[in-house]
Amino acid sequence: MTISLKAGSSALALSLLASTALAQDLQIENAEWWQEAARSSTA
Amino acid sequence: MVAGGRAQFDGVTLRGVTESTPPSNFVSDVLAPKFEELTGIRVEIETTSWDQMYDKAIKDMEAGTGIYDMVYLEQDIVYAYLARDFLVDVTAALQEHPDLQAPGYDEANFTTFADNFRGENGGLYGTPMEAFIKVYLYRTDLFEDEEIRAAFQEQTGRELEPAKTHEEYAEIAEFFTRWGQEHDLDLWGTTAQAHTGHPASWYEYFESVAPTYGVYDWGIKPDQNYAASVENGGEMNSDEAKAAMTWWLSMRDLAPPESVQSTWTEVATTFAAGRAAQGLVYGENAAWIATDDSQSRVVGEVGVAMPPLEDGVMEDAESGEGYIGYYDGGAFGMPVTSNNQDAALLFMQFMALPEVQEDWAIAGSRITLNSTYDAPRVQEVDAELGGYYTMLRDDGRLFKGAPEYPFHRQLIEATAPIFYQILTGDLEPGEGLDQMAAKSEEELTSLGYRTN
Repeated sequence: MTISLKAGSSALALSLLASTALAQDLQIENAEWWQEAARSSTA
Repeated sequence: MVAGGRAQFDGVTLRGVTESTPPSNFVSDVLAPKFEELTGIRVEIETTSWDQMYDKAIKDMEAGTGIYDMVYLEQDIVYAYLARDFLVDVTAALQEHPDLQAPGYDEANFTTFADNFRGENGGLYGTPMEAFIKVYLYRTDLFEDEEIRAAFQEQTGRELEPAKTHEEYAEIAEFFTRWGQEHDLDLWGTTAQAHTGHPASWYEYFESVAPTYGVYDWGIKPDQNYAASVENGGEMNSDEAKAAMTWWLSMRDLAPPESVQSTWTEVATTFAAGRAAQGLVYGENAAWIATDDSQSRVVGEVGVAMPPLEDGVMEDAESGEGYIGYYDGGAFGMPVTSNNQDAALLFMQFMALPEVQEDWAIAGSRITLNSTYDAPRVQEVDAELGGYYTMLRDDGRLFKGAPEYPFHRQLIEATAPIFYQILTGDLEPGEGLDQMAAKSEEELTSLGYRTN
């Protein structure tokens, strides 16, 4: 018995690439607040 | 908690531990790097097996080592964690530190699933990050195939449609397993989460099968002195429980051979590999099975339906007396032993921003904010999935999470060895359930819940 999924190492690599792209593409409203929150206690 | 001054989080690395699931992988692969890009705060999320996740989190919180700033809280274990004061009240922490309250974060945005993570004071002890129901998935390509439909009609005298009863489900399972054999296909009639040495099988029976026979909350009656046996007022070994077990084992015997070693993860991969015509599958996997052709062979061929039920169960669910299946999910909570509580509060709010939910819903079939249901891509996938998200929104109330038992883990550990003997055939189902009910009462007495 074998389970032959399409997901192989190349698919995994593509998935990781997609994840990276997704993180970059994610648009965060109030991005400046988050940047400031990390620098100052009075965000 | 707040140290004050600039660059207060310089060099801070948040560490979390969670089960490796599609929703958690999105946190580690997408949300964590985005958060670091914005704030400079590094977030390392360990995604590991379910067993390891619990082991690591509990040991860290018991010993107070402070390794983890965030731990995965499954709905079924949060009551035990709250009873042991392991977690920070996020609501209270944000009230104490309004400077850390992020714009866009609002507890009111959460679906009612968040209520599972509230303490007695109403405070939220975790950020909900996944929520799904265990649904009946079926292969639309097979169910709509004219040759198959004609053969099914000839053999059974009825139209091939998703089952509404256990009898219908069994008939479909038998038909497709035979169809696979006769046509030399790697196709079976059903999935089964029937691992002989992992609690996943215990969960499938008690959370997804027994309730469909009218046996709720594991057959234990807290208002009857925590009785489990019929003799004392419980239902763990009732006729209905035994019928449910017998039916489920017969389905296991029609399922692919890997089913005896399958947890929830393997059930999903079995279905995605096209090896089962129907099955009860955790909803966190539904979207990728239906839409991701890098992982699934059945893209565009997946339908969603309610689980098969015995008479009276839907009425019980509608009235709130019972439920038709499992509503699972989890949150990220912050141990009181975390050394980076301010930074962790920021990340936990980041996970709950409305603008990160749409992609997360697609990646993990999970929705924790009400607004996510209206997102355009979520609605597209909903159509591809035969209305899974709509079912989650409109019918989620008919499903239920684990009962609010602080003794959750202890009871499973006490009874699972007997349960596995039923699966391996060393015990008859009836005798096995009798033994489990007696063992449950013994354990609950030992833990102080049940009095003689």
